[in-house]
Amino acid sequence: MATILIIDDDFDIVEAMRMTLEANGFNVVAAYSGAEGLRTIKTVAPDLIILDVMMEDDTAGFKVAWTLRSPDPGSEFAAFRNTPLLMITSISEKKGMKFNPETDGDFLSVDEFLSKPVPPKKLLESVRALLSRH
Amino acid sequence: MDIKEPPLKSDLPERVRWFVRLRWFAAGGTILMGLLGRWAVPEVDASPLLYLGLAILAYNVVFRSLRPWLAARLSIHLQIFLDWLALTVLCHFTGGADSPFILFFLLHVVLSAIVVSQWECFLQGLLAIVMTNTMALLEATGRWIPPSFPGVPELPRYENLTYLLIFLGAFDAVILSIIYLSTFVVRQLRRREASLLELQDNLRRAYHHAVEMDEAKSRFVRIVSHEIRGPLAASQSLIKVALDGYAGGLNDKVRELLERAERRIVQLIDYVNELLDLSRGSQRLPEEDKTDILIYESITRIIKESEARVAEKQLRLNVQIEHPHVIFRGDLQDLERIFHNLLGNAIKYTPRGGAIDVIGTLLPDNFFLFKICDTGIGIPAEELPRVFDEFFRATNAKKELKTGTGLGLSIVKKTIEKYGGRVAVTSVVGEGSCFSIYLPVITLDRSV
Repeated sequence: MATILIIDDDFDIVEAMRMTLEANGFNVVAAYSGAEGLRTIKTVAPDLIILDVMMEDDTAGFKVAWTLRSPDPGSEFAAFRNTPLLMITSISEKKGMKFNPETDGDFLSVDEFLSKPVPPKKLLESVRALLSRH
Repeated sequence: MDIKEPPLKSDLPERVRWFVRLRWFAAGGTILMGLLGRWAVPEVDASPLLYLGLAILAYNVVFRSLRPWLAARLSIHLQIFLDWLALTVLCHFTGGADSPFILFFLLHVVLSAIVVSQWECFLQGLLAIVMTNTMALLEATGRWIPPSFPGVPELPRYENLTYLLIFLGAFDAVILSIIYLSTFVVRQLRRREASLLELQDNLRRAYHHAVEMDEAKSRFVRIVSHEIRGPLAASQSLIKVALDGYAGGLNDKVRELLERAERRIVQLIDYVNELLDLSRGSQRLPEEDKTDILIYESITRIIKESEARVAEKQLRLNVQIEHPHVIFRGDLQDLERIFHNLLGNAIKYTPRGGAIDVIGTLLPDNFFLFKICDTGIGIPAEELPRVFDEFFRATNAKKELKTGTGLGLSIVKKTIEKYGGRVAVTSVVGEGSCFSIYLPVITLDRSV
């Protein structure tokens, strides 16, 4: 059973995703900030990470992604460098920006971006697709 | 509005410079006159004119050099005083009260009226009167004899003291009248200048205030909308999860209620999104954030996204875009927002089986004209001028579709105008509407 870590500071969003994923046989662990997320990654070793962009600050999610994808061989997260990252963002609404892995992947290796609110079907589709690719 | 004259003080230094500049010509003219006099009338001693010219030159050099140290006001008064003295000497050597140069007193009075205040000008005028009258009386009474010119009769104004007094009286009156009139006109001009400056200042302040208010409004809308959007997205996610059955089974009534709640939330999210679009529409875009966008690609994508709705209403969509290589320099989301709103409206307000034409063509002045015309319900003529107002919806549109924010067209207008373009509309109720947008573009090749 694949373990999915959801890092998002919105309790209700986490809950909605957790229910959707658990009902479909996934094991879900939640963290409510970027720092907590990084700590949890090491203890849980998730198969996939769902990451919100804006948490304690506007780019907390990006910082987590950056730390995970660090090319530094001595990085404490080196083992999770290839863990699929699904980024959930509402930043495009706030900042007028859109992200996609094809154009923005060079500077941030994220496997997929989804905009909030994510319909349950879309979430499941993306999670399954990413897990099957890795 | 009480308008005061602008203080003379502020431009006095400039006036000092101006006076000094003019005096170079006066000094040069006097020296030239002395030299010409020597050559043309050798029997008359023209050297006093040469010395006078040099004296004018000398005190002008002094005033120019002292400019940083001598107070401008004192400098001006000293200069005028020395000018009176120089003019009096010039007149004395060129015919006294009959000298043609006596008219230069009048000219200098006008110049003084421009640079000093009214009462100071009157004082200076009185000095000029005292000097000219004293010179004339001294000359008439033989105490300061002017040089005589060969072939020129004795100075007629000195023949008769009464006649000389009448002449001097008239001359003094003219000087005083000119001072009064010149200072009056100058004061009027200064008042007008002050009122213009004040008006300009008020306009500048009002403009900055309006810009600040507009930015504050946009910022407010952005923050509030985001704060609203977060909880709305969370609510929608929870309801969706429940509706999809992940929280257990639902009976029909609960399902119906949740679906209704979700529809209302979607409405609210749309509303908030439009408010965000509106605030973004008026936000200026930094040059580095602009990208080159192929207009053709962008409109094609929006049309593709709308295909399902077009098919559902069995509409005929006719697209004719000429010059496919034309580039719009800006934000892709802005451009798509414009097309999305206009095409969306055409689809929404055109009855089943109707037609929509999308025509794009390049105009000679590097503007791209887009026309989106439909055979929809149209807009009542009396409401046409208000269709781009925020929150305005035409009466027949409200009847046709209950929901709608009335923000779409104001978003379109603001976004287009941000790029220096414009939007226009023509419409006939029951026949349809035609929106024309003019976008500034870059053409890769004139032939495309």
